[in-house]
Amino acid sequence: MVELFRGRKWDLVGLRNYWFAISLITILVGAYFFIHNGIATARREHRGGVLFVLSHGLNLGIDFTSGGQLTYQVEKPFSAREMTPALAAIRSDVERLGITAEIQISGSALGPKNQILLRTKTTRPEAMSEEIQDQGRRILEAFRARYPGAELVSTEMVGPVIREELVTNAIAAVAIGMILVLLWIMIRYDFKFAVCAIIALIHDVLVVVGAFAILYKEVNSPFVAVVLTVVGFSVHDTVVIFDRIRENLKLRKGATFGETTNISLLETMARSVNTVLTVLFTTFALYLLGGHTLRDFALGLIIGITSGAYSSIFNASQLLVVWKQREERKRKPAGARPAPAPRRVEAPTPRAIPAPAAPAKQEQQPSLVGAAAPPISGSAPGRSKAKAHKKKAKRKRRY
Amino acid sequence: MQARTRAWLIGIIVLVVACFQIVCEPIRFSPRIDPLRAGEELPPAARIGAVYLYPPLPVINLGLDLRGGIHVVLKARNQAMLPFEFDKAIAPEDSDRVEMQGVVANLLRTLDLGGVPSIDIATKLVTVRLQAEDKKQAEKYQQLILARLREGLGAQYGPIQAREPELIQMTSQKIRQVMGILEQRVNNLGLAEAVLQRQGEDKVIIGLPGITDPEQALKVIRSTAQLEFRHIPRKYQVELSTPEAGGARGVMFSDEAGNEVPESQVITESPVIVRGDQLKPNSKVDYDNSGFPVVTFEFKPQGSDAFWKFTRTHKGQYLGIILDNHVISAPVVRAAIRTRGQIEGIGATREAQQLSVLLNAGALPIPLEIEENRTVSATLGKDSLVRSMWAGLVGLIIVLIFMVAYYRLPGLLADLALIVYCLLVLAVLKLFSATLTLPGIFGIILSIGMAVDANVIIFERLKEELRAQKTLKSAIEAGFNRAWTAILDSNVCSILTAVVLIWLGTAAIKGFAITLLIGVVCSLFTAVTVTRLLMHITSGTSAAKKLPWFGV
Repeated sequence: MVELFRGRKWDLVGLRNYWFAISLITILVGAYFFIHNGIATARREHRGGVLFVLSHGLNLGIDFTSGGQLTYQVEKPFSAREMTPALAAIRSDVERLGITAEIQISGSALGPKNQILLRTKTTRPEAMSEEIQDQGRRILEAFRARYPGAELVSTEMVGPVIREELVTNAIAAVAIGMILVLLWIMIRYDFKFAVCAIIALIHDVLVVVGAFAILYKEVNSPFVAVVLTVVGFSVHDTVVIFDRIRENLKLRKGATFGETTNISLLETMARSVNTVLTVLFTTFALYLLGGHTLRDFALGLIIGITSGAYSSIFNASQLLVVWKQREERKRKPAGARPAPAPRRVEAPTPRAIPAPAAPAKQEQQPSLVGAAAPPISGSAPGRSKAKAHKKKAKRKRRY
Repeated sequence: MQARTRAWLIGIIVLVVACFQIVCEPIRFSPRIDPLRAGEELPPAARIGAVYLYPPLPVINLGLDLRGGIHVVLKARNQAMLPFEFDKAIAPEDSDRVEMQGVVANLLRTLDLGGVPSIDIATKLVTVRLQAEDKKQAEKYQQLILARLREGLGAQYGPIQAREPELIQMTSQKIRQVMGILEQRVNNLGLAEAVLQRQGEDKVIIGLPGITDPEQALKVIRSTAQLEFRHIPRKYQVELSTPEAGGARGVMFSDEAGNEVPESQVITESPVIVRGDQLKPNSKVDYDNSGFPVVTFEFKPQGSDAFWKFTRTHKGQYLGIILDNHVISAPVVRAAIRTRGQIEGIGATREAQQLSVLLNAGALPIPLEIEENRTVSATLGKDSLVRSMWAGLVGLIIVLIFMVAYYRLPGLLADLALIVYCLLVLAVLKLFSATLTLPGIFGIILSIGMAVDANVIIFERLKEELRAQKTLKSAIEAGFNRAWTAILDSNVCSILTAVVLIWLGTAAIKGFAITLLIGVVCSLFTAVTVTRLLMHITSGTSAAKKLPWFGV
């Protein structure tokens, strides 16, 4: 198998401003669509106010708006060409019954498109469930004439009380989930690590929300599960990299933080990519083969997990570098250690970096190994930390 | 092989066998029960004495979304009784009550009261019963009604006073009573895995998997079983519609001019004679002379008196038998009845049975509103199950291939660990008697990808150690030990978020979070223990000498 990442000397840290720019642009595009959607909804429903716009940036499903959704299944799937005329025909059927509904034809991504989804409006709040059941029956009769063998396969209804509960719980779940994760990282790592991990995590949430705003995919309470799973996964990735940075910091006392981070990133790159790949394999299979219900769920995870891997490598660690460099620079005027080469590595212009960075590493390498490595016996099971470090140091010789 | 390694190996083999037995239950000492029909047994593939053998396929309780069914949340609503006292008698005689009821119903028809009120007329008292959340709302309605009554009837009957409204509030004692009645009704549906659960103060969750006619079931469960015998005003004529397909003969009303009148209007204008709570709990299904099912009933003493009084004086008039605001039958009073009677015109035997159950289990003390309803047909459920199974299988196979292709021998071992992992997750799910839902399958499939992660971290370490020219044995140890902190730290975060989702999520999200949590915890075990053991075993064989097999 080809090893894509071994022995590469990419200067990921040096290009950090580009990475930040990519993230920023992605988030801004998402934010634009989010606000755009909110304003469009406000216009359509003749409502106003900042709060309304901000709470309608996503295509909210019945869980968050309350209402009814009916799903019908027909025997003969719609081909791509039949889609538009079929939608028009269905719309006229439904309108003739005096029902207002948003209509969608769906199915699995690769499989047949044989489902018709209707989000209906109700007029009697006190008997919503009955009204929706009645609508379901009347629409079915109309469909039976057009598509023999049509079946009402699912009726969903969410009343205003449950809606309120779902909204509160969704917000609480995301907030509490994020706070717990923050606390855990604070316990296990120092404050700066935790802050950077959280920023990366917020980045991922924003990317997923933005993507759903751009695609205008319907959002229901499972979206909360998507967001929190992405949060868990994003931290998961970040932690593995931070763990390596922490370990390398102990080994490479002379190196700057930027260098240590760069090396740690390259060392963990194979793992980061492989983990994301294995998860993406399974989520893609679900996205392509799973039914309508799971497709958006899978899509959210695909976007979120990819973003999580990106932000762990290109945001969390890089932010940490920026932060630590500020500190290092502050410390320097006080006249601590003379280390001119590494300082140049941290020059703010990205393009200047690759050249000086590589020699700097080479210079430092020998002294590091010399300091840390009396030869160790191959058979020791390396339980103690000290031994593990020695091994690491020995490995570093390859660099 | 060292003694310790051997002990571990035996332990894990036992675990795998146990998991297999738990998940598939191929060997049982009692016949398996059909999950769809309570009390029915599935025929075994073979039987040896007391041992029943079944084909070794996973047997897991499937959730509503995978085999069809309904999930509803019902909320108890408060009701208000609003009494209005008149100065003069509005209905001095019983016969006047009919007319008065019509007058009051007409007056209130155009008011916005959030629903159709029920009206009771006494000599000098009109009582209106309707849904009201709290005292404030009840008072608001009271003001509205009072104004309307004064406007319409004040001139004729003198000053009208509104008395203190009575709020029939949902109390925890009432909700317990509701739960009891619902349990009886749900059990009567004959579903093996029906779920009945109280949620919060005033809500009840009902899950009915594998139900064929969800609408009918909901009707029976939610029925307040408010059975009323009402006196239908003389001005209305009763006609029986032709039986629908299914059997029930509908009752239709028309006024003097021959125009059809809606049922609800007739009901609000008809005074109550006796209510269902005056029935003894011994109703049963019987058949009349022409073979149609009827439900027989018997009154308690007080109800019996009222009924006797009415039937004696109103021969030849219509009596309405009303269940939950629906006229099920409208017989003509032919003879004075004291204690026993029967309800006709019910339709099929099944419906007659449901009615008799409702009458016997008693009326719900408070009405229940459907707040959430998710109904999935068996077709869609099966479709989702098949599709997600395929998706899972394809995902799993790609991951298995990827691991072997990238990590070679260790990858193959990780694949073995992954298969053990899948078995373990299913076994744990079953031990917790959790049902597998669609989001649950999603959780498992997702966790397959994550389970491999621990192995990926370890193998990357292992490669690094091997490149540092260590022996395989020490490299394995070092790889596992060094990777452990990263694995633990990163998985704790996934566990935390899963716990929050279990705590605050909806039913669907819980299904996902539970499997994800079980998945993450199991993966910590299999990825580390099982893979490590397998690696130790191979490191003692000749395979260990071939470094390319380790992808180095």
